[in-house]
Amino acid sequence: MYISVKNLNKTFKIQTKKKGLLNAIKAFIKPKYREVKAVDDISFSINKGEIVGLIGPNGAGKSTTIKMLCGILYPDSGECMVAGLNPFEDRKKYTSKLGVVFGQKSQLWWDIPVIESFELLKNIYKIPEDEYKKTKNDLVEKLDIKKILDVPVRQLSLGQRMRCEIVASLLHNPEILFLDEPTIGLDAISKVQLRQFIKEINKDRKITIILTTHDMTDIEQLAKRVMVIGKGKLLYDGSLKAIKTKFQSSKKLEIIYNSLKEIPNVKSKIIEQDSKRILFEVENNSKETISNIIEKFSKVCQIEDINIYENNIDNIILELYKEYEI
Amino acid sequence: MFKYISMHLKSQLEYKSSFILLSVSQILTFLTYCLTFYSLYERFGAVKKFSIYQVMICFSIVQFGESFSEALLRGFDKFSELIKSGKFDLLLIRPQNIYLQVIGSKMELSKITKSFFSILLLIYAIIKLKIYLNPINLLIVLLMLAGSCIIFASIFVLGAALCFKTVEGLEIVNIFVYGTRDFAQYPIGMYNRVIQIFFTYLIPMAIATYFPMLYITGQVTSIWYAVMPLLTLLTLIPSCIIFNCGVKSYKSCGG
Repeated sequence: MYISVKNLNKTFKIQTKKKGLLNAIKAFIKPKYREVKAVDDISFSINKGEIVGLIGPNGAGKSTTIKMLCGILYPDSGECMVAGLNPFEDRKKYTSKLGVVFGQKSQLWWDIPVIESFELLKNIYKIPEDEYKKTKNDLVEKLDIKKILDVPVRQLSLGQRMRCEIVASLLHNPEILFLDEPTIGLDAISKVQLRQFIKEINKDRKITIILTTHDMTDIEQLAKRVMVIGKGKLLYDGSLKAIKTKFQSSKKLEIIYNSLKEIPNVKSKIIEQDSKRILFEVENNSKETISNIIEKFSKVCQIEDINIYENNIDNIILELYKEYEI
Repeated sequence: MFKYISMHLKSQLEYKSSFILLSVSQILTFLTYCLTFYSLYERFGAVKKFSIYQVMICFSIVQFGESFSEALLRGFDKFSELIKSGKFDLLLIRPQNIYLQVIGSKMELSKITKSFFSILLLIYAIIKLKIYLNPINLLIVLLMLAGSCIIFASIFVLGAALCFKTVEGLEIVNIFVYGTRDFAQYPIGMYNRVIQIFFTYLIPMAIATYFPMLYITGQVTSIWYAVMPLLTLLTLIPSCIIFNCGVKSYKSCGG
């Protein structure tokens, strides 16, 4: 096992405050604390070279889990080992194998050109000059940031900056990469580029990648394995496909037609209908398949177009969260 | 380390006019300080048994320590910002000493101008006192400068360590920084017993300024007074222990 986490726990004390000045004064004199289990007895293991997506609503404990795996937070109890090292105890050794991108925290220097930040990282990680040049040129080319290397970070767009962040986290050739909301706030093109790149480095360099995101398309395209975290507990660990088949009970079929005289006898439920189109909901396990319906229609009218809608991945996740009551 | 300094210099030079104005304001505050105590001495002559030039030595050493450590240790001084923004997370994922990284995270290089002027004032006082700068005396002066920086460093690190618990920066730390600066820039021999004990044992600024100053101006002969600044290193120990505990209990902020 490359990453193994056993019974990990982390509790935060949160001060509870009621509104109003009087209550604020009361809380000042005698603060009341409430314990919140941010991470509650989580165990899992990950193999080298896997891409794992970590999902869950805001405040579910994803970031806390990642922070403990990075060695930023000290766990209350439990064990976590990554690449044979304890992230907190062997910090120096461990961090040189680790790359992290926090979507909301920049590791680049705001006021000076990007390339200077890279050079500083070279010094911090003590990367040999020739190795640094090779990795840097390779990454710069792949992410197409050559033109912006001399621009101060504050003048970059978010998409450009995020690409630079990723390069910064990969300069020292880490074995494992944590991406905490890497696509947050990016436009469509940047997202696609970034996903493509993440796939590539996972394949070429055998980097183990753990990513958290709220964008389900990220998960759909990158991670074969998903972990769902809610209220600090690990609720689901398995393939995205399994979730999909479980919650994808029906598909929608839209037929746009011309000169229809009579609607053929179809068992599936009609959701909408007008003179040009009709929309069915077809259950996955029903005997009548989508092709049956199309066949029936093709006999009585001229079909102009057909659309099949799957339940949106966001909705699937929504249903999943509902089931787990998170 | 030099890489960090050059990066900060580059960052701060990006805002050229701001950098120049800050430097000028540093010089102006310093000159006002000098003027204040010069006019005081003009009027009252020597205070107790200390001449104006002896005061000038203590004054410049303390001013140097404060400005120099504030310039380089701004990261510890403004540690609450690092905690609040969550950027401390990023320091913990680098394979480098955490203290070095905190120092490297923020510098205020315009404060160096004040250190420079303090040195000029110190040289002026030494010339006026006709202290012969043989290697030993030079070494003592350097020790005094270093000691003064170390005391301020200890205060900053301790203040930073408290931020792990409080998140918000603490005004009380500033009381210690500015209090030490304002009190200890005069020879503590002028004050009453309580203040003398405070600045000898609790925040031992006097061991970096007052006692070695007595030695180089020939008021005491025991070499013990001259090596006292070395003891300032001891103040770093509790500060660092508390800071290390803080890192372990770090809670992190934000997503």
